[in-house]
Parts: sequence; structure tokens; C-alpha cells
Amino acid sequence: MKSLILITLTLITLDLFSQNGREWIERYDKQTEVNDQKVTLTMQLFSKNGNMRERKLLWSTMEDAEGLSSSYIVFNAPADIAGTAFLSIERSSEAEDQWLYLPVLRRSRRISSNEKSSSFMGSDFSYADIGNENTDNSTYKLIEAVANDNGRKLKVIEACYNSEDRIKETGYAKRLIFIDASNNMMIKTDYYSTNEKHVKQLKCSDFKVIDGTSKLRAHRYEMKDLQKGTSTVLLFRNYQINKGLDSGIFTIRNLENN
Amino acid sequence: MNKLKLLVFLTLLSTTPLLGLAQDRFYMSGKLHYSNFSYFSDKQDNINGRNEGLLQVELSSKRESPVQWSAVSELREDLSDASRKRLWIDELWARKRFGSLDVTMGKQIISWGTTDGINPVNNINPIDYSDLLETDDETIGVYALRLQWFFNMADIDAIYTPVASFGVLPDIDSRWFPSAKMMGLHAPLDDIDLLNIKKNEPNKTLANGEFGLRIRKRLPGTDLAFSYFNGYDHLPGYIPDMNRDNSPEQGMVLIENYRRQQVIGAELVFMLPWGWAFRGESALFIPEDDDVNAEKYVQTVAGVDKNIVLSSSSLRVIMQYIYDYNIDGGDYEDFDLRHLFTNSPMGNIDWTFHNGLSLSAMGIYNFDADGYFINPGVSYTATGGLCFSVQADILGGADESFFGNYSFNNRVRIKMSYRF
Repeated sequence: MKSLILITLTLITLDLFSQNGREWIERYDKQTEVNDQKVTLTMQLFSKNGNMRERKLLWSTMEDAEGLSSSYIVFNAPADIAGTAFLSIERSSEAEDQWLYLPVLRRSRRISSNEKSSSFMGSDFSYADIGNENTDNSTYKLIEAVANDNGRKLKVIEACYNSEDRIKETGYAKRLIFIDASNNMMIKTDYYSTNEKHVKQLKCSDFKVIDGTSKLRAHRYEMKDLQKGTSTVLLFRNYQINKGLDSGIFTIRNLENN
Repeated sequence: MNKLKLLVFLTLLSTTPLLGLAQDRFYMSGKLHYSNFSYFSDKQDNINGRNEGLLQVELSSKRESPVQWSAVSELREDLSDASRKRLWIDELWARKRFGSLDVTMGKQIISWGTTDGINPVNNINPIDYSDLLETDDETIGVYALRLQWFFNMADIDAIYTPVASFGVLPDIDSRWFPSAKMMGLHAPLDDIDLLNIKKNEPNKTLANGEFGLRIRKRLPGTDLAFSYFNGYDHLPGYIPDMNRDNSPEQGMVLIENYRRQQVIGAELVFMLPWGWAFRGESALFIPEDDDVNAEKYVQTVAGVDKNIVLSSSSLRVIMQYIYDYNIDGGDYEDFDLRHLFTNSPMGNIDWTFHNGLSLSAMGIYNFDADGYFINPGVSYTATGGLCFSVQADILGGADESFFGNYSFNNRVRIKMSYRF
């Protein structure tokens, strides 16, 4: 009887932690949720021996009433890729149309949707890393209610994809997401491969409230690939959130004629 | 006219110190490159090596500006081959949006098609073939009015070129100038002394204008397009000047012969499983009936490609097949740039590493003529945009094939380029 009570209490506690984990992720999700966003981005790619290559781009995103997103990215530097632009239009949660505009060819080219685990623009970020958190695809467990990082109270949430397909697609079996309890922002994520190896680490810093909104944004993201020894730093500036971006940005016309 | 071009070019250059002050109004970009071409074997009375420099300067409007424009000028200097020297305006156009209509006027480059490298439906702009294998960035701008109407994931592209422009073929003393045999001049090869080629471009009148129309539709996972072009084949054929004695003793003079044609084209792209894409395009060429070589033909290019992202590199694989069907059933002349790849598989691999190193190889084989062209290369782009590349051009095959005839032109290209 005593052991039955103990098991029941343990299950209830686990369920509570699970609920709390999801709750924290949903709070974070709400903070990052936008209708549209435009941001200038500097991407610094560091090799294993510290050599740095830099790319500059303008990144616009928009979500429609059905929650389907569109992205438009145009590279401004370096000169050999300046003018290259990328358009992605999500048709459903599983399918999207993508085109690349290459100034040398003077035409757009339909490309296949990238696998979620493949590199985003040659960086240490994968397409899965930069996408929004879809809470339907994972289970969340609050594994540490309180942890300390430079005096901040952190919540540590273990996120596991809930389908083998999603695990195969992203390459991750588990993520440990560290959320600052004071502002609901994610400050760190540790990524674990299917064989439980710690493969990547993302750190977010330089948090600022965006003018005219209550939205807080990290202005610096650093992703380290712990296996390859490389890292990528994304420096964001000139955030424009919910300014009512013209939907014409996310069209072939804009891709080819702008 | 050349003085005018020079003036425009110098004006563009002279304004560069002011560009820093005007960066908020327009962009300046461009490229500078130096190339060395070294042939494996010398050919008597021909240019056996070239050193070429090129400066291209582009001024363009800022993105999202109400009127967009672009002005691109180019200076090319070749120490050995005078025919390669040029100073000209590549592009000079302005574009204005009217609702869902984009109107572009001026000298422009219009690119239709979906396949890689060879595009049968792309016939608006002529190409400079003075070096047959160096055709990157050799498209010649045309003065045109372009109307593009965009609606509901579709667009209609209408182009009118009031004055036709024509391509450039190799000079008589170029290693790429075809032999008499290749041009189908049935006389003993060594007995013909080609004295001259008479330019014979059609009159630059409105009556000789060109126009094209293309309709595109984008469906989920699929792009479709249909096009029509009515204008000139921008490459000439050659015929002997019958107004003079072309006997071996007197030497031969050739006259360029341009023909007008209609081209009906179709394009298709769709996504396949596992990240592969299918791309195909086909064009029916209908020359005017009064042309001496007025055979109708269909050219088709179709293939698959895939971009494979690896941990520190990406690999792009392209496999295509090119097929040329002569509806009238006749044989093409050996030297006919329109029909180089009548029955040909083509493969291209591009392996680009994140540290700037890139390895590439392209190969094409013509089953009908038993000729081939292989183009392996390596390049390195250093931080800051300086790029070094080495490429080999290897041609060969049966004596009667186009590429077999040019096997003495095997060579190495070394290029250093900088984009700014």
C-alpha cells in the first residue's frame, strides 16, 4: 500500500513537472510570436582554427491567418553573393515552396525544401534550429525548477521530439532548454544526438526590448558545433516587429525584380 | 558611338570618389578580373595564349526605391587578341511599377529557361562567342521594352525589341574560327585562303524588330511556363560571296547570313522525393521559309539535380540530357553552333567547402558526332572576396565532330577575380 502511494505521488509529480515544462515553453513561444518581422543580420562563421567569414543579410518573415509562414532573405555582403535572395512559402505544416534568385543567372530557380537537419546558409545552425518551436511536436519536462546562472533564476526544460520521424528529421533526440524565469526568454539550449551525445550548444545574449513593442529579443546568438569545433555568431539589429510588412515582399515578383 | 561609350564609362569612374557620399541613394558594385589562357599546343598564324583583364562597374538603385535602375559598363582588354577588346554598356535600364505591372525600358538582359547551362527557350539576347568556351557573362544586352504583369502566382512577360542586336563569332585569326571543312565548304581545306568575312546584319529598322511573350504559373511543388519568340537567330551562317571569284587562286570571301525565326517553348520544374528536382525545357524552332537552311527542329533539355548539404561542404549534382530533333530529317552542318549537342548526356558536379575551396567538373558527350568536352576546375575564394581559379578545357572526339575538330584548343584557364 505504501509503495502504491509512493508510485502515485511520483506520477503526479512527474505530470506536474511535465505541465510546467510545457508552460514555460509556451511562455517563451508567446514572447517570440509575431505576425511579421524584419531584421538585419550579420552572420559570422568561425572555422575550427578561428578564421572568420562574414555575411550580411536582410531577413523578413510573415505569418498568415492560418499560421503558415513565409520568409524572404536577401544577402547584402560579401560582394560575391550580394543580391542573392531566397524565398520560402509554407503551404502546410509539412510542405513549402522555395526559390533562389541568383543575380548572375538573372532568374529565380525553384529548389527543393531543405531537410530540417541540414545547414542554414552554410552555418552551424540547421533549419530546425532557426524555426519556431512547435509545441505539438515535442514533450517537455521541467527537470530543474531553479538553477542559477549569474544570479538569474533559470528553468531547465528537457524537450524530446514525440515521433521517430521528427527525431530523424532534426537529428536531435533531446534538447535541454534554459529559460530565464524573469523574462521568459531562452538563454541557452544544449542539443543531444540520438546516441545521447552533446553535439551543439546555443547561447543567446544582448537582450533588448524592441522599440514600440513589449517584445524582448536577443541580439546575439552563438551556436557552437562541439564535434566540429566550429561556431556561428548571428548579430541582429534593426528589428522591426509587427509593422505590417507588405505581403508583396514574399512573392516571385519581389524576388526577381527588386 | 565608341567615344560616347568611353565618355559614359569615364563619367561612371570619375564619380566613384563621390559614391561614398551617395551610398544612401544607390549601390555601386562590380568586378575586376585577370585571366590567362594557355593552350597545350601552338597553332601557326593563330593566337596561342591570351592575357585578358576585365573591369565591370555597376551602379544600381536601392532596393524598394520607386523607380529602379541599373547601369553596367564593361572594359575588357586583351593583350594578344584585338577582337576581344571592348568598352561598352552591358545594361542601362529603368523600371517602374504600376500596380501589378512592372515596366522596364532600356538596354537589358532577359533570361528565360530553367535548365542549367543550355536553354533552348532563351533567345532574346545574343551572346559573344568570340571565345567559344568563355561564355560566362558574355550575354549582350538588347534595347527593349519589357512589360511584366504579376497575378495570382502567375506572370505574363512581354518583350519588344525595336532594333535587333546580333552575336559575336570568332575572328578569322582566332583559334576558334571554324575551318572551311567545318563550315561545310566543300573544297580542299588547305587550298582555301579565307580573305575576309563581310558583315551582313539585317537593317536596324523597326520592321526588323523582335518580340517575345512568356506565361508562367507556379503551382505547389511545380513551375510551368510557355513562351513564344519572333525574331532573329542571333548567330550567322556563312555563305561564299558569289559576286566574286572564290577560286583557290583568288581566295574566298564569306558573307554572314542571318535568318529570322519563330521559337515556341515550354518549361517545367517539379520537385521529386529525397530532395531531387526535375527541370526540363523544349523549344520548336521555325525558321523563315526563304532561308537556305530552313530546317525546323526541336531542342529539348531535361534532367535532375540535387543539392546535398554535408557537415562542412555542399555538393551540387546535375545530370541532363540534350536532344535535338530535325523535323525535316536533314543533316546539320558540322560547324553549326545551334546544333552542337544533338544527342548528348551532360553531368556537372560542384563541391563547395565552407572554407572557400570549390571543386567542379562538367562533362558533355555527343553520341551522334562522338565528340566531347570536359571542364574540371578548382577555385578558392579568400576572405575579402578575392577568388583564384584554375580550369582546364579538354575537347576531343572523332575527326568529323565539332569538338574533335577543336582538340588542338585544349587549354588551361587561370583566373584571379575580385568583386566589390
